[in-house]
Amino acid sequence: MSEKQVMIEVKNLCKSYDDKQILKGINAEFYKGDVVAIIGPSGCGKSTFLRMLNLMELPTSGDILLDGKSILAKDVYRPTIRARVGMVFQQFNLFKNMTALKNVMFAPVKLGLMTKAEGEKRARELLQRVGLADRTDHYPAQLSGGQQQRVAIARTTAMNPDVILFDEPTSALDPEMVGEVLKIMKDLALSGMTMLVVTHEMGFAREVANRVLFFADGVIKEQGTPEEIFDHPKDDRLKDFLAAIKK
Amino acid sequence: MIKRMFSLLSLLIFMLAFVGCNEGDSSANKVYKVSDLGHKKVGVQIGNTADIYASEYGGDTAKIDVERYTKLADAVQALKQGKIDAVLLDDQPAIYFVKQNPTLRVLDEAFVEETYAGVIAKGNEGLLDTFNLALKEMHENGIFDSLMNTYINGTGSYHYVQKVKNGEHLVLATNAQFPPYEYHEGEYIVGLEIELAYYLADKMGRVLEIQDIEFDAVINAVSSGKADLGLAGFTVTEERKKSINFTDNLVDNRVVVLIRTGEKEASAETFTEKFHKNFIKDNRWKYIAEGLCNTLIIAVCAALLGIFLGFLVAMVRVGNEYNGKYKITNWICKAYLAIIRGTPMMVQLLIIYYIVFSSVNINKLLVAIIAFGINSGAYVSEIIRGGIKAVDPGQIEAGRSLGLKFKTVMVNVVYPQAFKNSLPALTNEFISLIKETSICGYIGLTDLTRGGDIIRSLTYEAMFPLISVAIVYFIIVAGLSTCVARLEKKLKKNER
Repeated sequence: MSEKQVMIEVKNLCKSYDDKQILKGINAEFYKGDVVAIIGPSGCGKSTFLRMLNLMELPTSGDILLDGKSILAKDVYRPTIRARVGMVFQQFNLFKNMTALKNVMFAPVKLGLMTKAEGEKRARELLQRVGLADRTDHYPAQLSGGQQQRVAIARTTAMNPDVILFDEPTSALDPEMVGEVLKIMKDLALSGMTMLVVTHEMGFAREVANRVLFFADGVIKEQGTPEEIFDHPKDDRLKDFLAAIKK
Repeated sequence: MIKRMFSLLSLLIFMLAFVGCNEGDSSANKVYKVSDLGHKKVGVQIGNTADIYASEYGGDTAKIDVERYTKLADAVQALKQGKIDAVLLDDQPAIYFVKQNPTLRVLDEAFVEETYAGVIAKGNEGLLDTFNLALKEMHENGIFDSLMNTYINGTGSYHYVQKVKNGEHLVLATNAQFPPYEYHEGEYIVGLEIELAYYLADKMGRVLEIQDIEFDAVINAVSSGKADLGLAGFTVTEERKKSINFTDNLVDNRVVVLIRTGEKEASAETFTEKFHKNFIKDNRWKYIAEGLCNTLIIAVCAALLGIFLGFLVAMVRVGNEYNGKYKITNWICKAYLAIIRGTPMMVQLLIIYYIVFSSVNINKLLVAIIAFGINSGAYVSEIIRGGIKAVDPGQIEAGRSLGLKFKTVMVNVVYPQAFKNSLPALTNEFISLIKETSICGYIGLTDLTRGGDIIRSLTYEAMFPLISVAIVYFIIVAGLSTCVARLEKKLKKNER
């Protein structure tokens, strides 16, 4: 592996809700341009892990470094971090009171990253890129699930984030719509975007990801290239998991 | 929509007209002497001494079944319709009512004899002395006798007119439903006691300001300083002396028994005659117009104040739920909600007028707007809070994940959706707000309901004023509902 720039470094990250420990010490490094698939049985803390990376939730202990600086330090203004670490949700969460176009341009314009005219131009570009040039004036309720998720990806991309976190982006979709969303994600990966994807789409993980993390029991049980994980699994839990999925 | 409204409206009118036709069917008279009153239904005006006497009459064996009315005219109406068997009232108003209604008469035997005087707040002995001096003067210069001839004996036509036109006000609280002492004539309030007050005001170099409020509120208004002087045919009683000072005696009075003659009304008035009497004569429709105007002002301003307060409280409470920042403010808001929602609107209105603003001379419209606004705010805040909580939390997450501030997300994403969620419930709240303003008469404000009441007290006719008032309310509410339905349709465009 060539010299790669470390973007996110996670050190001994733990998270508990009341008495229940969800994450029991996660250590990981993510590089610029990485496309990492995070797999594992449900309830193993994958989503919680992802949500801590943009501070939607705060860890109980441990540290997260973004470009070498802790994002948990007291003097860090959290919205700035969130603007750099984008997120795509399982339930899309498009702003229901705004059109597709407004959804995409709202945050960059509101935060002063672009003028209104620039924001609109960029939003139209991005919507065209996700194949929705003719849906700019539609409200979320007038779009299909797949279309909504494509708008959501465009919305996150509009912020020019350093990394995008995908939290099971296709789990809430009807089967026939999964493909269109995965295609957009693949395009995004090919354009060099750093992506962390919690997913159950093993085909996507194998084809697009350069690294796969297997989460179980609150820790990373095994990690490696897609070939190592899918073709030569070592951990018993991983073997069981893959066997269960194949059925 | 409009077509349906009209058919509903005409149905309503037909139904009420049918009810109105039964009005003439009064039953025969049952009272021939004072001792017949035991176990009978007898009407009195709340707060009048007749109420006190009637309640004490007869001991346990021949107790009177007392029915209390805020307006004497309502009691007389009930008597005519056979709902009650007699009305106990002062003899002068009784004579007036008999003159107006040939089917009524007064028992020769008096129920009780007593004396009238004015009321002045304790501690205001200066005014008391001035009043008594002015009264003495009027007796000496013959003005008092001339007024007695005009109003009581009906043998004169002398009127005392206020001479001072500008300057400080002398505020008189009265209940202008009590002829010949004080009553409405056309647009003016006239009567024996009113002209006494003009004389007093002139003597003091002040302009008389007449506040026409409910009878049972007059003493309160005077003792709380809302009015300088109260003249409403007050009988001197020991109980009242505890809270107020009485002036020297004005006139002697007998409480008499008003009963039905038992005869049917000679000639029923036609529809047009009744209409003319209730609306055209003396420009009486103006009472309704003025009332409507006030009702609209109060409802609109109170609704705006309510929305403002409601939003504020809802924002504090939701903010507190999300990040626990405003603990003390939240506690205050919760107390506000509990108090306002736990007490009747009417009590709140009276408290605000007679206690909170007791020593401040403040426009009554403003008092009503504040009272209804504060009340409405409590309900609006809960409606809006519900609307906010109904917004998917994912909306806030998505906003924050883009690096937007909590406040930005709330204002641009959550509140617009919350508003749409709350619209049906908000409409309901404003519909009840409009109708609730009908209690404004209790602080002497001529709102729509009271406008109709004034006509009713002048014409002794229930149907026309009440039904026209009901129709006006109905039209306002139906109009509001239509507008909101359109707005809702417009807001629905971002749904499938």
